[in-house]
Amino acid sequence: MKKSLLKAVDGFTLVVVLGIIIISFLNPLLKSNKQKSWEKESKEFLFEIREKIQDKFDEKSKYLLKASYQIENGIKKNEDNLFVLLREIKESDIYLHLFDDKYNLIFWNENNFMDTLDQSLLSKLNQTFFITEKGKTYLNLLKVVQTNFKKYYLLNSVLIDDLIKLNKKQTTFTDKLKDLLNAEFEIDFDESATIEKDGRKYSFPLINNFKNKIAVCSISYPTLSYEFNRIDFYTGLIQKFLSIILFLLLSSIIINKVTDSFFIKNFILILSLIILRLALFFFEIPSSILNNELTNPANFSSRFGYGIVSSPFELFLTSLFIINIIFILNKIIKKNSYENKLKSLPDISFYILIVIFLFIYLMIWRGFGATLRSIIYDSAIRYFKEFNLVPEPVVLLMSTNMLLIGFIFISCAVIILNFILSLASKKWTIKNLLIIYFLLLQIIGFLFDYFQKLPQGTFLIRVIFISFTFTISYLNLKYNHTEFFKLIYKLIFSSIVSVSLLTYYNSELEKDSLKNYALDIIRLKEPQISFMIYQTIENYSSINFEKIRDYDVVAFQLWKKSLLKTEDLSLLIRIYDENKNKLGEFTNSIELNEYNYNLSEELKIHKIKNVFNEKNVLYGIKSFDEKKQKIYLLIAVHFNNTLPEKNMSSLFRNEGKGITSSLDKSNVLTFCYQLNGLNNLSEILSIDESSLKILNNHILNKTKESWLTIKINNDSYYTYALLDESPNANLICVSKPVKNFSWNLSDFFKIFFIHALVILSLAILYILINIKNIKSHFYSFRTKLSVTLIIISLIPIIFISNYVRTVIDDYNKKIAFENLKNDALKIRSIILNKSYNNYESICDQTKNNFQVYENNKLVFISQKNLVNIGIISKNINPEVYYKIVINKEFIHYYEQNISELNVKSVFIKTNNIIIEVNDINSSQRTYLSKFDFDLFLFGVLSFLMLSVIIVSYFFSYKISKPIKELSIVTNSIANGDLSLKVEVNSKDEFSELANAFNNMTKKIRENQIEIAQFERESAWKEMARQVAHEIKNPLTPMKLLIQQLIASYNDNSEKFNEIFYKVTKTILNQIETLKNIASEFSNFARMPNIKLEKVDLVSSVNDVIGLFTYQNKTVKINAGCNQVVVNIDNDHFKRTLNNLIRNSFEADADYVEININKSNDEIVIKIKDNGKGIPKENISKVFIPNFSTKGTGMGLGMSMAKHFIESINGKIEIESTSSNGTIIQIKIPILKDE
Amino acid sequence: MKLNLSIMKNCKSIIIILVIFLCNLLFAQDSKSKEALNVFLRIEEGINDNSVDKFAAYFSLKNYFSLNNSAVGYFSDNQSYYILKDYFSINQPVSFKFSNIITETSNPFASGTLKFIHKGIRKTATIFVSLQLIDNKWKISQITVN
Repeated sequence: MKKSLLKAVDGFTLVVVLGIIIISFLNPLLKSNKQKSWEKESKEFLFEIREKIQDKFDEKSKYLLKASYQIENGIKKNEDNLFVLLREIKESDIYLHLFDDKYNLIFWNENNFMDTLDQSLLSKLNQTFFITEKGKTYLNLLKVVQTNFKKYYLLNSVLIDDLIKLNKKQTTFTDKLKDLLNAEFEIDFDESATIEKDGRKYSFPLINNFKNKIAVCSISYPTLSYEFNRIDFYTGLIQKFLSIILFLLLSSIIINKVTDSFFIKNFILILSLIILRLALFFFEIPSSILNNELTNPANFSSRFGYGIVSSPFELFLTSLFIINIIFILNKIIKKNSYENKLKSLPDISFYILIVIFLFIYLMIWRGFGATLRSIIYDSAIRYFKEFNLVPEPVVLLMSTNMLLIGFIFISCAVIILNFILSLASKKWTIKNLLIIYFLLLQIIGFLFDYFQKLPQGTFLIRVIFISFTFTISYLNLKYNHTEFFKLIYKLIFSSIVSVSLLTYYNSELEKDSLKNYALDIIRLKEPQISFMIYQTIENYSSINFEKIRDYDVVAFQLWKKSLLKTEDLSLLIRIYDENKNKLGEFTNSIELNEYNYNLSEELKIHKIKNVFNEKNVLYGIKSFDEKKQKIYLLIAVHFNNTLPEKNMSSLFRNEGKGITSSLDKSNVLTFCYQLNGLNNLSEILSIDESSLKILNNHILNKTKESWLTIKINNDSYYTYALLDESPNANLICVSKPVKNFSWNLSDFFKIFFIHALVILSLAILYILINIKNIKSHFYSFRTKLSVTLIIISLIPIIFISNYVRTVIDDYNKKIAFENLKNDALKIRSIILNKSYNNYESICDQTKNNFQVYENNKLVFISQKNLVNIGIISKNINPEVYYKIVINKEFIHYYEQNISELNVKSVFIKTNNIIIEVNDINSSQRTYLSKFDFDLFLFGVLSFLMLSVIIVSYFFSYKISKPIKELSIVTNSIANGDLSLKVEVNSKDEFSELANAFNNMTKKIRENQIEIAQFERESAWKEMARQVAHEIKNPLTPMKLLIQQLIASYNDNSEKFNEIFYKVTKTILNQIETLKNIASEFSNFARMPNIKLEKVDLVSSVNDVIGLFTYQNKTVKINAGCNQVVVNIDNDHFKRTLNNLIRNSFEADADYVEININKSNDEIVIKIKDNGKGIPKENISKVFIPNFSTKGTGMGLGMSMAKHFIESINGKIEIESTSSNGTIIQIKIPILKDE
Repeated sequence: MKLNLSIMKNCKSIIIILVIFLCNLLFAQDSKSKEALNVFLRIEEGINDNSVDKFAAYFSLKNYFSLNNSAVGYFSDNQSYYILKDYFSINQPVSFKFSNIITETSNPFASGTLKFIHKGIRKTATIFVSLQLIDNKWKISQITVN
């Protein structure tokens, strides 16, 4: 880290420490200020809320006024055919009623609640007011519409509040307002309501557009203690955040300042990550801030690690931290080459280590299984039952968690397996024994699971896990793939294994759910139900009748708030007046209407035993004195003691989350068996004799519980049988077809689809982050080819799938409507034949629920409670009315949403009535849904997409490989290396091109040799001429001088001494000249000077490796770090390394590994090959110039390498050589300034 | 006479054995009821102190919860612990007491009124708890907050 940055970090650390101290002092100050200003502030707060609530209602009023104006114009324009207006207001949330001048309803839309105009409302013309009807409150506007011919009353309304909400997802205007303002308030939608003077609440009137009071709103006063808690929470949170920032700053300072050691730095980094995760956990970040489904423990929680994975988000955070730690550990392992160090261990340690590593590897498998089991068993998310194509955030997060967990376990397993394979390769050659290692590992895995009481996963998933980890490990050892590519295939493998485990544990959970379902049936005993009835009756006083003003809704509200609702019990809540006339009721079971109940004053619980259908009734009755009258409250519950209610509408079912909700109840059979007989035969046609024997034995032997496979209706059913403790010795059986527990491809794809999206998102993210580095790849031929292949493959699949999807959707609808039509026609023919006196008898006979309309009014409905609580309107749908009554159509099909439930209806005209049959009660929809098809489709698509990407990558690689190879060889030739050849095994056009290219290079090489020979000869000639010329020059005077000296001697010249002195001096000078000439020639032939520069060895080695990429030989680099910078001559170094690698290949090696390691004072490079080695007698000669065992070459390569390495104060030596290969070691010193 | 005496003696010993057996049976029943009562008291104490840890040991592998419709269904012991912990951290208990405790049944149950604070506002709810015997130990079968 730069010094300036470190200084900034120091400064920031001080600021953070100061911040923590200041916040500590700030907390009491804030509280004291809050206390002082509380009275004023709380008033301001309430006033602000009041203003906002009034504003929101004013907005609604304006909306209503505007809509009314538009509809009024529409009515005036289309007075002849008002139903044309339906199209204009189809998607509107307006409840439209148009009454004639006699107050009769003449036009309405789908949303309606009134059939005649209440004349008391005429006093409220043109102003907004509230109406509460069947628990629903509307804001309304009544207008007079005067046309040329007639006078109409137009009532437009919008829904404000709904007490009859069957679905939690339904939100009303008041719910949204409460969420928006984050305030607790209640509105009494009565203009005569009084303003409360309760000290705990602040009440104020709601004013309409005429400034009249139309309701009273009451807000709970905010409390000071709550404000103090908020101050504590937020100041604490800021302190926690600052502490974490402080910790991060300190860690970065320690890592950068304290040590230079790679190992210690990374060790501190791991420690910091662990402490950071623990700090986040103890500070409850982010669980204290996020309060949604991502942190909801119902969606996942485990007490593992004292709760460090106690919610989906905590699990995600923990997984991310572990993955980071794994990445760092991987780096440390690579850097220190522990695998090589392990190889040097003595034999005993070697075997012990192999056993330990194997054990760890298998424990990783077990841990993987256990974690996925926990994800299913400790989660309320039903991944396969509640799956959506656009997954909910929590499902997306948990699916991502599964992928991350898979990645963690597979990465750990691969690390361990790498150790095992490296150790094994020391003893045995890995090349030949790879398959044996693989099979051995599978056998050991099998034995490991076989001897365990509760093995994880299945045989097949374990085989897949071992195969995948082995494949990754092998690929790591054999190929030098990029980290990104490694990450992608690891993620795909992780996804496949984790989703396989998930589907397996889900089917196990479904089996367990059969048991839970059975236990649930007998969970409630008579005392508990009596108690619940007792408590529900006592709760009556908490229901505010004055506010609801409808006894049907009161009964419904009582049920909604009672324990009985959560238990899915069939019940009847009825309210009588003092003359025992029915005031109102709610029931989810028609049968309970048939009993006679004795009314009593005091609360008593009675029991009616019904011997015919095995259903008992428990009921309680109590009288209450209300303001105006005395009432009797009756609560009756079907106490079956055996089986759940089958006829209950799905609208009134309490589909809870949790373990039993994993059970798809649509194909579950529940029945009660007594010796030799079934108690409930409604769903079961036959049980074969052998199965009957099994069930009888179960009862006779008084076995409390057992798992059986029995034949029901000629199908095999997996059954949980539980003996009830009742005197009848009932055997409660919950069965599901065996075929439903088999591995389901569609289920697999549901999660794999999400994983595919996550993997693709990661890939895109990686590309975006590294856009600069990989920009060139975008324009490569290979990328273009891959993208084209993907597009060509996917487009037809998507089009065909979309078409099939539409066809299936239409077909499903057609079948559903056809079934409803048949039922409607059956009812119609009964009515026409007058076989029955009333509609109730037809309903009992046909077992079909239906509705009958006369003109536009509902005159009969088999499920009265749906009208009683306002779920179904008393007026026929206007579109149906228009089609059948006005357009005289015989039949009309209609689809609508009722309480978030999609309901299909068929209307048929019969004389003067209209019959409606709908599927509101159909719990079983057997036809293939669009959703099921979508799941399958998108699952297959995601799988295909990943497959297409992998296949297209492979094919584009195959196609572009020769082109790339040609390009590299061309570059090498351009650099002067003519020894390379383009190797193509195929027999296509590329092969012809390669052969032509190789011929061309061969010719160039031959020509080059000839030219070189000629040049060498010329050079020698020139050299000889020059040498001769240069030597001749001094030799001639020397010769003359020596002749002169000889002549002087022969003549006994007196000047001999003088001549001798002069001649020898001149000769010596000439000899010096000759020496200089020799030196000059020597200098001329000398090697070029070394140019030292800072070079990244890793990058340099990679450059050299690049030259051998397409040679069917593997050259691999293992560098402890990403960058090793030294001072060398880069060209010399590359030439040296190139020579050494070529020597290896010439010694029959097909695999060269270059290891780069950094010690304190030097860089050690080891070039290891698997060639035939160097004979012993030649080892000492390899660095001598002109020594060569090859037929070609000058024998200068190794001597030049030695010369170069020694010139930079390094060392080169042959570390080892044998018939298995040679290792050459180069040591380069690290200079002080590096 | 001797025969009669021996019969008498045998009868006495049989009666004594029977009495002891019945006493044991009653005592065992009584002891199980006491155990159930203790579990309820522990739950009451835990809710009062806002400490789920105090009764976390009584969670079975599958517990049925219905907490004001926020969490409904069967939950594992792991989930149950954190669900209740979260629930009581949002709805901070002020006081809680079981007003009805029925232990003389195969599935003892109890209910009481919980006073709690939610976003600074005091509210009340009814808590219903029932137990079941698993491996001769009382475990929570159901907790309903309504």
